[in-house]
Amino acid sequence: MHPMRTLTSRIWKPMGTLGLCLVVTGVSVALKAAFHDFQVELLLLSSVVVVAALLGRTPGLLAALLMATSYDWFFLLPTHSLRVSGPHLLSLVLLLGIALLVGHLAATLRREAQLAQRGQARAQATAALARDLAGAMTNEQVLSLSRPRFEAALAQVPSFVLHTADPAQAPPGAVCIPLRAPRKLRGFLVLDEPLEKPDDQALLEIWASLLALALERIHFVEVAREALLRMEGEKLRGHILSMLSHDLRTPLTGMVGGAQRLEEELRGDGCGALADRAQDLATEARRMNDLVGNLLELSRLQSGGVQLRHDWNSAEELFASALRHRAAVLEGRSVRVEVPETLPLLWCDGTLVERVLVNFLDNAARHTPAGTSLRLWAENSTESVKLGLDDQGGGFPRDETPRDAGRGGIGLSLCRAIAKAHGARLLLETRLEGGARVVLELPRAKESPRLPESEP
Amino acid sequence: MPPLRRRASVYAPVMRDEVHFSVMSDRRSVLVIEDDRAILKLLRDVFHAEGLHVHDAATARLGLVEAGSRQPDIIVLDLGLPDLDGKDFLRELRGWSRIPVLVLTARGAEAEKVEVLDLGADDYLTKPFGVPELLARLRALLRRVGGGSTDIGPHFGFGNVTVDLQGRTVTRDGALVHLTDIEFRLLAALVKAEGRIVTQASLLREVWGPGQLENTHYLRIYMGHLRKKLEENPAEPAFLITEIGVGCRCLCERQEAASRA
Repeated sequence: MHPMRTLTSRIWKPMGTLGLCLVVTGVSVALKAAFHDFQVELLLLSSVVVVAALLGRTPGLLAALLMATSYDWFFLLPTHSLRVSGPHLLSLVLLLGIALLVGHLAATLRREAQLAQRGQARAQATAALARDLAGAMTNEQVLSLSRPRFEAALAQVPSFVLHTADPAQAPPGAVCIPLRAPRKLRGFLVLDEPLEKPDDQALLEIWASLLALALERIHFVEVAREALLRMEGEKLRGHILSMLSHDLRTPLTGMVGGAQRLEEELRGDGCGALADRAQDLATEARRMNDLVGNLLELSRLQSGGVQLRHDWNSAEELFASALRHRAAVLEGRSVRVEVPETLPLLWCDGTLVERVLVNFLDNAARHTPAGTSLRLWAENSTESVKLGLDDQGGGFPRDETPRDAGRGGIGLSLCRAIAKAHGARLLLETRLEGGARVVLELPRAKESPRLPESEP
Repeated sequence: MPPLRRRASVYAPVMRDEVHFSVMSDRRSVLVIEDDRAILKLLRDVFHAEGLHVHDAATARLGLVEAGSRQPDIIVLDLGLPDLDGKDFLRELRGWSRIPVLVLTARGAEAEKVEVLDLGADDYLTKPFGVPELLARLRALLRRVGGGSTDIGPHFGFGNVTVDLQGRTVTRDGALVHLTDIEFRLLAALVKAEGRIVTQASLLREVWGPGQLENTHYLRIYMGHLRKKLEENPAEPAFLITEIGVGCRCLCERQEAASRA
């Protein structure tokens, strides 16, 4: 309770008791002649009941003692003396006993009524707090909405610390009440000093769990909203990329097809030189398309959150597919494919790894003279599987990073991004015997697939 | 509804392109659903040169109407249409028609390719495509529509290999090739598609059973076996093609009884 209120109640309760007793005694003494003895006793007893019911147990006890004393002094023979003679002793003891009992009962009744009232008030305050918290959408709102409730219900208003803070930093002597939610500790309530009343403490703990629940709900609402936003963002990005892809490729398709038709017709008309130009046009349009493809793929990979479509792939099929896509670009360069019989299957995103190989081939076609030969090879060790391409060009210029040397560009960046997404390495080197070597070194699959049973 | 539509396709003035063709019963027709004018013109030219009758639609909704009224032998569908998603188009079309559909799509969208194939597209072509590729796919699909009268069990051939599905025999250069049961089932699943792509999932389901869809490595291993046994150069296969991330195809042709004898 409030210290000031405690002080006044300490003074006015005994004074009031004393005053009432004096008045009642005075009245009884003044009207002594008009009263019967039992009427005096009833008047004294009822004043004890009134004091106990209004002021509580201790004033009631005090009143009982005072009344017994004044009864003895003013009404029992010999009057004006505290001495009691035989038969009157019984009256005095009875009066005192009844006064004490009645005072006690009245005080108990009063206390229970008070407790019930307080309990109801707290239940109402708890319900009101729960209602307020249900509408809170941010941590700050939880604090600002619950503060007035705390002020109304408790003498001390706790300061709040959310889970980011360390309870060890609270001032010495302070009490930390954890805000424990089902999933996690959500913070602490800090009180400068312990609460006096145990029922205040109980209330505070109930409210702490309400706050914790509200904080946890807000946390999960935010988590859900973020997840939704991220999903929407990814969907939108995918949509934009696929639209871009379609919009950029449509005119290129028209160009490739148109140039091919033109070439056909020009050849039919015997204009060989012009037909060659038309063919160049188709080739360039295809190259443009590859560039667009690389760019889009690169931006997809770099935007993060890309799910690789891992699957079992065989090096032979990846090589064959890359060669098939690049047959036109290689212009008759002979390609030797060397894959050891013992090479395990690769656990990777086949489309992307094939993309790397296609870029290897593009790169070789651009930087080696026509008619030279290429070697596509695979090699396995205990930790990794290497997929490589050797060419017979000039290799990578010394003292220059490949990007500066112009060998690479978008294609190389894409290869690097794909390698990174696979936890793989990209190796670029000039071989001792001349020519460049580009290698994708993939980590070996953790476990090899269960092989089908062999059949006859 | 359906009889009315069929009548419309006979009597409607559909021959606005080549009026001199008065008899159209034996002419194959193709419906091109594409909103880009340049590509549409290109496709028209190519298909006309191929002797096909060409209808066109610039939106998916118009395409559905045309497909119903013209009853084309084949549909060429661009996936990026302005009104409906190509996938929605396929879903709707497959509700009432088995007309073969060739989808034009972009490279790098393998998941989408598998999706449209699962939705009932018969094959796809990656943009930008060359005219020869386009015609090869188109012919493969048209062959399937036309051929169908097989009194004896079908025979298929590619390179110097022939496959007799009923006799369960495979010959290469006239000599019998021994295939295991699984190898033959895989080859059969591929040749029956006559050059069309078969998705990885449907191959696994058909050859190994519905519980085996995760065992994609079986497919890698057995495709390798088939190439070793049947391809001239297994490292650069000419007929048993794997399209990474989508499925496999066998570039074979159905052989007529006469040519077999």
